[in-house]
Amino acid sequence: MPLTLSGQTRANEKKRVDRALYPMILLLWGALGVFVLYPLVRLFHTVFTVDGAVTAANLAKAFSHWYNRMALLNSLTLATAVAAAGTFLGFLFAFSVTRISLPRVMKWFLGIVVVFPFVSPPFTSSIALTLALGPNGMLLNLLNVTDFSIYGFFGTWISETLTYFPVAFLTLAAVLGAIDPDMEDAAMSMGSSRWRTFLTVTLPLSVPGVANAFLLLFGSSLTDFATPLVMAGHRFPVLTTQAYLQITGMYDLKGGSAISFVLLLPALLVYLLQHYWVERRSFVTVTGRGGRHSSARGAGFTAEALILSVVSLVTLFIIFLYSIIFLGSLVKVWGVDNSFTLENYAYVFTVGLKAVKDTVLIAITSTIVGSVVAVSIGYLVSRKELPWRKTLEFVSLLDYILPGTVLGIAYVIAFNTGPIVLTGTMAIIVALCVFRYDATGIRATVASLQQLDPSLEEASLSLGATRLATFFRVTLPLIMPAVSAGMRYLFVVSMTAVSATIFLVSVRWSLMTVRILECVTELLFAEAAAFSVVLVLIVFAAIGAISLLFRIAYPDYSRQLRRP
Amino acid sequence: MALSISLVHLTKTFTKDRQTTFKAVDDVHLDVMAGELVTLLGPSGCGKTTILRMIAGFERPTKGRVLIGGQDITDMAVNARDIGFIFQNYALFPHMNVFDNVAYGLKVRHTSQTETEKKVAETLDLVGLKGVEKRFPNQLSGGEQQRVALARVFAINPNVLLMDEPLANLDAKLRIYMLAEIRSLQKRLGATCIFVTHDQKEALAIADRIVVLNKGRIEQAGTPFDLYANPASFFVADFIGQANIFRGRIEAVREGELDVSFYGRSLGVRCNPGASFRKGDEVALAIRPDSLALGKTEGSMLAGQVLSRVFVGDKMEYVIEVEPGFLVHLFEPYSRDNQGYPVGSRVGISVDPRDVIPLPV
Repeated sequence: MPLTLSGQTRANEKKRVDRALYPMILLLWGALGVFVLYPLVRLFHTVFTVDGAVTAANLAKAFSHWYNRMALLNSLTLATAVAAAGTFLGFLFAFSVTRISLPRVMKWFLGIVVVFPFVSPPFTSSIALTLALGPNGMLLNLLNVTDFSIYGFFGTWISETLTYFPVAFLTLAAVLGAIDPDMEDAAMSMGSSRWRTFLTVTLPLSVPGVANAFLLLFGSSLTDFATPLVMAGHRFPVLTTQAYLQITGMYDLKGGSAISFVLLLPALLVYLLQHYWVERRSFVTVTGRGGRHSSARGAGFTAEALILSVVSLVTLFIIFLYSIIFLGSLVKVWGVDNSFTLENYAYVFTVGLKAVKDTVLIAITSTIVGSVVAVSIGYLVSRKELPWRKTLEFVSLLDYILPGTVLGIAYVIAFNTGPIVLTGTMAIIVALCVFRYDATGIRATVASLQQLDPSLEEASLSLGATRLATFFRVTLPLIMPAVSAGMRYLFVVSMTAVSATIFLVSVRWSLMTVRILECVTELLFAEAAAFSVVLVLIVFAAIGAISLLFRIAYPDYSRQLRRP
Repeated sequence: MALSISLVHLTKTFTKDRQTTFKAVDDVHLDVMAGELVTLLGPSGCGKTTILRMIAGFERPTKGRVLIGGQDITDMAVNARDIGFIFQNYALFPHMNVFDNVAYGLKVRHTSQTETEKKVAETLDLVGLKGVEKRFPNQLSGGEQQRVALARVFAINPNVLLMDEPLANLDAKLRIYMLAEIRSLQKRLGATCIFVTHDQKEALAIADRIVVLNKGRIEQAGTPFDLYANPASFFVADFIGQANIFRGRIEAVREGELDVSFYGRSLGVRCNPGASFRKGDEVALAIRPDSLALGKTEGSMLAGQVLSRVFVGDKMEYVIEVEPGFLVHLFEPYSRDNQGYPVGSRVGISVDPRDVIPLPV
């Protein structure tokens, strides 16, 4: 280009997206279109049309049944009860860990209690509760109670609270840990007592965290499918199980879609509240620093004693429940013939072997595909010059907001008939796992790319590396910790998912979680327990394997983490 | 081989949102000779870093061209330009050890293993960092990190060396040492160097030529001595060194000299022959604190009361209040015999008219 003295050039004010990225952008939008937007369009179409005409008749019809109206009411009641109890428990646990000096053993126990619900299949607490308090339950036999039924609201409530309160615990522990201890010290120095400091400083500062935890648990309980299916029974119908039974039991796709559709509104409301209300009201930002402790710890002797006794009881109860699962997998018939056997494990690796293999294969494929998708979307979304950047991010996170039941039904509708038929394939299950659970990986990648100092990439370019070489030599290794965390999460949820995938299993591809459910409905509790134990072991092994893989691929990875 | 750098009417406009734009660099024209070390000096937000980033190719100019060795490289990709860029935070790759950091530029150029090893060893030796090859950046001190950053750039023998406040993160003593170190390394490699800083002392110490920038424009360019002795504007006088600014009125204009009325006196002040001063105009008079002398009040130019006196080692720094609100800063060399004037005493201030710099208001 000739140089003009006026210095005029083609004034490229705006940065353009690198041409090399075009195929990637097209591919991602194509995948998101097919696996995120298209199923939702088909779902809306199914719910809101009758013979091609737009109408709300399907919704009206579904909720003309008193039973379905009751399910709606039950769902909301249950979600509120679980959110309240779970947030309360979570707060007590978080307070114990961040504000009371606990002995090591106690912290270790708390750690176990918190980790297990995340890595175990969703029925675990239900099965354990049934073995303890159900018909022929161990605790009931011990206490000689005969006229007690765990099934219904009570059992579902307890089971869901125990399953989901660790989420509240993690949220609140982060918030409580991030409150600057100087503020509590300041209150104490002005003569406030511990209890008063707690009421006037600590508690008000953690209100946004409490609200956030409540919303998270409300959403989790509302969309939980596995627990009510085992624990709720006929007298306590909820929306998720009703939608499932409507479709699998009565082959009424429109009715089931309509019922599940109602789940969407509260789920979206929870999401919006979380993002536009809680986030703005947050007094403390979670920085990951911490470690500093206030001298004003605790809440006074009486309150501490009370808190610790509740926390200890709950911890013991949960450990008791998980021990039951383990022991239950090693006996012939729980409560009837308690003699030791390995038959149940033999069952898992003969009759159930196909499910085990399928599940592991699906989880591995989802993890690999998911990490590539997460890195691609994260990389694109963090480039400011990308057109439709925010939209891309929103669409990629959309499936995460949706209740699993809704998503499962949408996939059934979209891929059973029409231009793209994927019913009975592995692809459909993998696609669902990837696009539903990649949100964590995408967010982690984006966050880690945003923290990445742009001068590192510039340094690489100025030293003569191409954009591609810069990505593989500098960018990718530095975001690997985030990608690795996303992969571990994706593997765990692909192994334990059920609410959406239950609609997609077939003769050719079955899942361990679905097999556990079948065992439970056939009252084969010992086999179900054995399946659960195997699943948890596989999950732990995989988490270890993924971590090890990164140690080998990036030997400097651990050193990099130690960077101040 | 060193190459010249030319900036031709370089302009960069940033768009904040749709309405507001911000001209970070405004029609900058500059020629840097081959092998020269030029500092871009100015307060934060003056556009100095943006100019450097445009030369490197990290930013695209809105208007204007960048030439290196006479070749127009405005549209060339960063990795195709033959430059070395030193970042303020060094931008060492945290996941690579010192060896891999320094070898990076050689590896992406597909240099052979043996040659790479030889070159890295040579370069580390050059910057005085032998034996730390296996260490990671977070295990090094600030000064060592700085040296690794230099070694990483020197390993690829760039023709052009661009430095963005490279010493800002070092403590004062190390800064002076590294300044001399950088200067000698640059001369030894013979690279043309542009050095960005906001610190006038750094600029005075290292530069062949200083370019003072203000609000995206070149305020004045010249040798360090030239800028200190003959600032062309109020901004430069105040930015390079310290200056007291007085107001006066021009009574007569002669060749290379002005008569200025100043607090009821007339001063004969020298000025640049080309300067456009007119009779009757108001004029700013810049006087450096070390050009003023304290003495008896009789016969002095100004008189006032000592407001504060601070001993800073090599000299005494006085603030004299002539009238309420009219303060004069003044440095007196310190000696054992001369104990100076205590706070509260009345003193006279005098100046050699040759040290008074007239500036347009």
